[in-house]
Amino acid sequence: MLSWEYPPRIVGGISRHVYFLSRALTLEGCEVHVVTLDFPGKPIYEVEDGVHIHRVPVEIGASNFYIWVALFNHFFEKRIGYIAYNFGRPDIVHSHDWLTALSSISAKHMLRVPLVATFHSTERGRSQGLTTPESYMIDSIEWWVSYEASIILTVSSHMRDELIHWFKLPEDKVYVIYNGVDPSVFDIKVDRDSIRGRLNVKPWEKLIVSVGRMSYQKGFHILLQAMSIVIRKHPEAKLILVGDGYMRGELEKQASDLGLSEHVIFTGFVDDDNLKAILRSADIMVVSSLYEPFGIVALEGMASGLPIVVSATGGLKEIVEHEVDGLWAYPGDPNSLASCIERLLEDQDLASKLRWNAVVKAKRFDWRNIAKKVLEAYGEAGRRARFQ
Amino acid sequence: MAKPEGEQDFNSIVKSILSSLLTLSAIDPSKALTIRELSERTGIEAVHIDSSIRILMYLGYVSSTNSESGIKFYLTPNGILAASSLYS
Repeated sequence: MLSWEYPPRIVGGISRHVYFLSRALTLEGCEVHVVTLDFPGKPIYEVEDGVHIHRVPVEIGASNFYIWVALFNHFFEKRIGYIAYNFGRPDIVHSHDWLTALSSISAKHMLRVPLVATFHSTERGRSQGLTTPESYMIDSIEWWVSYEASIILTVSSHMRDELIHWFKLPEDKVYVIYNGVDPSVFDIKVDRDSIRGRLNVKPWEKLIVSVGRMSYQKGFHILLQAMSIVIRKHPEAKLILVGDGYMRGELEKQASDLGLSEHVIFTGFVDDDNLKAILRSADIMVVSSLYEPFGIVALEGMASGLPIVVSATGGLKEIVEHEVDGLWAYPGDPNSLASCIERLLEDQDLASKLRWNAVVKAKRFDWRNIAKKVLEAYGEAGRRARFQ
Repeated sequence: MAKPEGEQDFNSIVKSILSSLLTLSAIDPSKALTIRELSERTGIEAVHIDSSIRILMYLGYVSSTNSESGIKFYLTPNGILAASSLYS
């Protein structure tokens, strides 16, 4: 399995997906090798919960990101050769997103093994269209890996429709396999008062949590606008933004400009234990993405028993049923987002109903079931593989 | 989120340095780079790199180490994640 991110390198949802899927596949009897990028303090090779993790250093510096991607794919290929020689030829090569497409296609042809590619998002979606030469190149690579793979996996029906439409793929080539969550991981007891105290949140304050990479597509700037509306009626509302990214400085300034400094907490990156503790100590979760192929954080919030507000976009609309286990807001609309948040702050019966239903819903997204579906896809990929 | 032009330029330099440290593999003290080396490899004037590096250190994305050739800079684990988020 090839992925540019794997814990503790957690950039987006791919990292968690590969982490949990590789473990679940191991429990199904597979020998899984994850090839990923190196990270300070982590060994180049280790076996963790039965999963072989190969963290590959990029030995040559590159002048820009795209050359660097090509270079790290070269070092991935080298490691795949090492794995094939020392552990035996793999039965499947499974890539995640365009960043590992090149090495996965090479591995398919060099080792003559079927290729499965998971699309977690597409360049057209991430960039809201193809507007730069780099976007066109990434789009071409995405098309190329969709052509080379025997089976395409993707994380929502919305994404499946996009892939079939944009890359002119046969419908039976694209499988929807949702991301998963392990509800037991989030069903933990925490000292809520102590955690809220550490975050400087008073017992009577309402804590709204949002988690994710601080990039434009996550819509945190819309959420801050919504918060400036919410606090007019609910000065007891406090927002905690968990995560980091290139937009953090801009968002901190926006919060200050909107007079929200006392109402918004930026945590930066937090480890999994602290994330779980924060989720269990919060009152509401908001996922304000402008583009979201799936939205694994929404599932984690639901599993933590949080009433949830999501932007009605992409996979979020498939995970959350409006008025049943969460609320939908119009994407990019701070007034709509604020209105949903206010409803949950004011209507405890509604919040309790959504919370209960969300916990039940989250149990459906079990990684063991997902691993079984992935194994079926691997089998189909084996039957369809062609090497030309 | 519209910004004055000068501020946009400053942000783009900060992002460019963050990205360059990642793609030049400056992710631990043994691979750290001086401001001069960064300037040569990115084409950004040293004076701009110097001010941007200070911001990145304040944000916890960059750390420094002393060497015979002067102070060198590299990405912290949080810096690696922030730089990667530019492309994800």
